[in-house]
Amino acid sequence: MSTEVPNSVQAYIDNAINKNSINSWSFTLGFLLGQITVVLLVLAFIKFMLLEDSKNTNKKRPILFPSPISATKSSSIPSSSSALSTILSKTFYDPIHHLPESTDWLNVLLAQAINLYRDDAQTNNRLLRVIDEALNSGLKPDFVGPIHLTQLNLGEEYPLFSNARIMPTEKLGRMRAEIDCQFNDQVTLGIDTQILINWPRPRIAVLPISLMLSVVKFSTTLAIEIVNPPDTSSYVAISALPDFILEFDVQSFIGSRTKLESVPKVTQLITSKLRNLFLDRFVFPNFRKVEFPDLIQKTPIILQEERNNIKKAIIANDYSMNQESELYLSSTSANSRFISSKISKPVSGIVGKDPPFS
Amino acid sequence: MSFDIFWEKLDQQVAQNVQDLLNSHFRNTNNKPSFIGDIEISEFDFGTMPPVIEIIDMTEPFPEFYLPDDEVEEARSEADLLGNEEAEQQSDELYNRTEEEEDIVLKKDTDAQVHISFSYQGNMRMTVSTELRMNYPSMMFMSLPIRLTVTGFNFSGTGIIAYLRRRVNFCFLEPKDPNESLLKEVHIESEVGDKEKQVLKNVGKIERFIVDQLRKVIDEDFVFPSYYSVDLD
Repeated sequence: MSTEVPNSVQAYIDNAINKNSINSWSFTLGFLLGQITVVLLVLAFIKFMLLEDSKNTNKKRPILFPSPISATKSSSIPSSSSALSTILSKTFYDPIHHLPESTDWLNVLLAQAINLYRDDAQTNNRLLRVIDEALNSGLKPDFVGPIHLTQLNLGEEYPLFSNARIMPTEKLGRMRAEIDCQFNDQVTLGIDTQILINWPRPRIAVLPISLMLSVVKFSTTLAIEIVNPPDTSSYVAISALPDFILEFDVQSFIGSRTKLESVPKVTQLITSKLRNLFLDRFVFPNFRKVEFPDLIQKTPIILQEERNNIKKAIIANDYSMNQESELYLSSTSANSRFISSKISKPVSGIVGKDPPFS
Repeated sequence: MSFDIFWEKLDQQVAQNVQDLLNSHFRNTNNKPSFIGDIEISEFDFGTMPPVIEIIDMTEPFPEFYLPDDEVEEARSEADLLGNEEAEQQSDELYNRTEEEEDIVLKKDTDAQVHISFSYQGNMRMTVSTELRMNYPSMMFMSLPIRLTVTGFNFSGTGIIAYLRRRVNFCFLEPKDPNESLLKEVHIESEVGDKEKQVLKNVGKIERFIVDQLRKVIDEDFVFPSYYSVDLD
């Protein structure tokens, strides 16, 4: 028997094999297409789910700050205050969305500190003496006689702070802390003094007067800002914003043998004087200054270095300007010489070269 | 008594100053009637007893003190004529001039007024020398020298002292009884005539006349609504 494959069968088998090759080629194609689709889907997923975030948040961060309750205008943070933006982002403080914080813990600590002073004032007279000296020192006008302290009552309530928040100030790129404070109590100071008539002779007539001054209500928003002026040392500025409430209660006795009691005009005079004192010393834009202690003792060498750094910064700026400039720098400390320099030619592209007079 | 007054501090020096002040006032005044010659105070002493001063009340100053007085009106119209803008501006600051006729002095919180009652029954001593002149038939035809010595008086009533910014206004208030005067008993000794020649002493009519003149001056020039004003500078 011959194992000859008949032609038709051969043709059929050839055909089948051909079809198989085409199929495998389309299978590969299909497989590749499938793989590519999956990869594309994964990339799309990554792009839209993960990278889209930054784009969105960039769009959402507004350029303008909302104007706070205090009297600051809305301002934009320019790119030059990048230090502040860095701080805000690293401390996770978003001024627009961050809610005001409670300071209940601070109230408790402060109340304990105040208690220390109150107890101390009760047990010994040190505080009385300190206040007595303060009242009788320098600033007393010459128509007021010696002031004697008759009563000092430091009250029984405690100041309550609340709503602490970071707010922008009027100056661009600057922030300050604002915190509300409320104090309803009776803090009393009793004094005996005299009004002197000094004309035509000193102390020719004397009018004795007794006062009892009480602070009854104090409600304010404190603003605390760290100020860094370029030439002098940095300090903390504390001030009260202009919408404050300060109420006094005044009792007065005027006269020697016949006394005039609590005249409304006297009360008004004293109250307005005290209020003006407060406005001048403590209310925005006036402030109390608490200086930062210098970390390093500024020796003459360090001072000279600082001056050189400032000079270099100025020179670097001038190098980029194409004009004649005269630069006079002088220092009067004992260790340095009088330094003057004149740069008359534009010197371009030599940034980083030491100035000729260092 | 409200004030404790140390009257003994008013020493000779102060008395001399008051004497000089009164003398220069009399030299420069034009109010003198022509039958009275030059007035001179030759002696002045404060005495030993202080007045009793009591504060009755403290209030806002009277609204009348805020109206512009004659001096200011004059000054302003002068400045107006000269076209002196600066003077106008200065008086405008003190007096809040609006377009209308009403001028109000700006009131300040520290303005205050003290209502006091005073009573002086003391031995203040003052000697006045003058002369009575007869100008008929010609000027200074005859003159008669007079010396009056006040040895004490009773002066009591109420008054107010008002502080307005840099100004102090002072005046007396009318007594409750309108017929009464603030100046009550006045003890006077008088000498009429030239010491070398004949002298009449303690002539009652002259004394009464002088005292009446004094009362008139006080009641007209120093009782509200007239007042005396001092600028503190």
